[in-house]
Amino acid sequence: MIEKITDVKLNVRPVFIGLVHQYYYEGPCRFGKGEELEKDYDVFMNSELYKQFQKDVAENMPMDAVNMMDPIYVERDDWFLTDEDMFRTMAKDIDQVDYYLFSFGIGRGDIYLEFAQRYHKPQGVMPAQCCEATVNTSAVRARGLEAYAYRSWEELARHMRVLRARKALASTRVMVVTRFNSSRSFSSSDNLVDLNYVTEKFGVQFRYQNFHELMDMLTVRDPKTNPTLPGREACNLTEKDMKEVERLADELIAGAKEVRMEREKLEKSLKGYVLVQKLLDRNGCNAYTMPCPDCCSTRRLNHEQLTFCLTHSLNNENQIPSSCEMDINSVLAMAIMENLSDKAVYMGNSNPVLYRDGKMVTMQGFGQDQLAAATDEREDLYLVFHSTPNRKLHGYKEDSKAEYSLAPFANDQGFGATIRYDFTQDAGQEVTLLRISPDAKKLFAAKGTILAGSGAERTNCDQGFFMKIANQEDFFYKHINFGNHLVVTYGDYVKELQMLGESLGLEVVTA
Amino acid sequence: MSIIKKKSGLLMYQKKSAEYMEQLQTTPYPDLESLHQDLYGFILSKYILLGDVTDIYDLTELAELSVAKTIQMPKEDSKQLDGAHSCEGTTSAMNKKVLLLMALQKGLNIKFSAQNTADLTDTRLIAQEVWKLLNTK
Repeated sequence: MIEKITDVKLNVRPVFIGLVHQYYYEGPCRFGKGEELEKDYDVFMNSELYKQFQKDVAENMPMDAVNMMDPIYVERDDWFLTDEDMFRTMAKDIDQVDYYLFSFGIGRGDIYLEFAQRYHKPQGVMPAQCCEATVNTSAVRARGLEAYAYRSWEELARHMRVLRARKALASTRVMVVTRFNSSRSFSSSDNLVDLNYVTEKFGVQFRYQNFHELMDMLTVRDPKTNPTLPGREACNLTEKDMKEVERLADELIAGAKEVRMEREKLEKSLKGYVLVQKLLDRNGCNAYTMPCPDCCSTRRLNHEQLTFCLTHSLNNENQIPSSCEMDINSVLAMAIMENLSDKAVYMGNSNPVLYRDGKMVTMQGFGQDQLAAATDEREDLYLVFHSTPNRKLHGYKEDSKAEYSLAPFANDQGFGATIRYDFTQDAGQEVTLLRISPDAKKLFAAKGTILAGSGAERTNCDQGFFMKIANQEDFFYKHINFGNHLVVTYGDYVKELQMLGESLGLEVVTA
Repeated sequence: MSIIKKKSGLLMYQKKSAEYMEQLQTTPYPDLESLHQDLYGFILSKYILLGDVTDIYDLTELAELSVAKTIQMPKEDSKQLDGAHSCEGTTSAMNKKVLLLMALQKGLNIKFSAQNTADLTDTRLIAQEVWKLLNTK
């Protein structure tokens, strides 16, 4: 079974550190009246505070994003001794914990600090605790360790989603289909420069699948007879798989506003999708990419009459980050955004919309006519286009009412199924654009607003949307440091990406 | 005008709570219900709600009512009821409850277990615990 990126949850351990004064006294850090200065008062009050902490956690943590572990209670007294058993108790099952949420007051910050120094786990102080958040976050951070604090439970919940996205990234295992090499295709020289660094930095793993072996497996036959793997039992499609191909074709055709290609050719592309699912499972992977031009030039895609555009669309609909052109940067951005937003993302070539002598400079068939049909906007425009939109752009759990059609990629022979999506139906939609820099040291996190779709009625890669951005010049001269494809997510997640960048040690460039 | 707007009002509640405590100390209660009846009077006196409330048993709700009543008081008088709060995040409701438990411990010579005091969220649950502790003396 493919372990989906969106199923990743953050394991959070709440820890309460109580303080019990042993004797009656008052002074600069102990105050109260009468019985409030007795030992039992602290004993009972700790019990109340611990219960309130558990209640706050249960009521405020984003349970769709976190897995709350059993809370832990430890206590010290006003001797201020540091007990080894206390650390053993707090560190129970530490290998399963992703984040520690502490509640404590004065006289226990040293325990919080020592916990960070001992275990090097992300930890934070619950919101609205007097003084301890600033005292101890600064203390831990000054030692190069990870600590957080929040003004409210809402801010804490947002941060939990960000750390969950970081964990999802670390849980990403990309199946990279290869022909010439394992790091870039002949259209993606803006790919990540050093995948070993990416593995060390983000925890992402890369596993490789030979393109020719994959293509042989598209044929239903004795799996020991593939030319590339003679005598070895490969993962060929089966008759049962072909039933799934038919089922998917029925579903896609039934939901489409218009079908502009032969069913037989749609099924050939769906064979690619079904086979990729089997290979992802077999390779223990949950993300996918392949090098379009490298594979194209083998002529085998033409021979088998398919492209993998539809595979990318359906993968992303099914919470499997999947990018064109062996663009590994985009796969990772997709893993982040699909986990963070719970929405399927889109990706595309991204270019500034330019005018010369008052007329739009046409790019790949996108011109003034398409834009003018929807809007009079001319300033600060960008164009994003690719043939891998999907039906879950508004959310995995949304019952999408968006219209789509089916059309071929190949203009001449009519093969290579693509979902055609008129983005004009989402005009006014705010989007977040993300790309990781080739050196994996920066994030480009930008915002735009869809103005008009274009190309849904055509074939090939020529579909996408025009969007309005804040400042085209600023955007473009930042964009060129990151690379072509931008991953598009519906909604505004720039703040979350800034927080993610901070937690990953990346510079976040916004536009 | 609130009854507790004068210091004499406060003294009345203190007197009533002392009377209820004496009753709790000396009465051989045949059942939990009768214990709860006097305990409830004691709690309402402590929360300065005696005579104002008849069928509210939730301690948090009682504490809220008590605070609402208290803040109508002149500053000098209210000081006598409201203890200073630490920076631990304690609330008035928690404070009132903890002081109530301590008063019951001392008055009845019983010992609550810190393991379950946070779960005693209602006057009837406190009565059950007191009943149990009195009968295991």
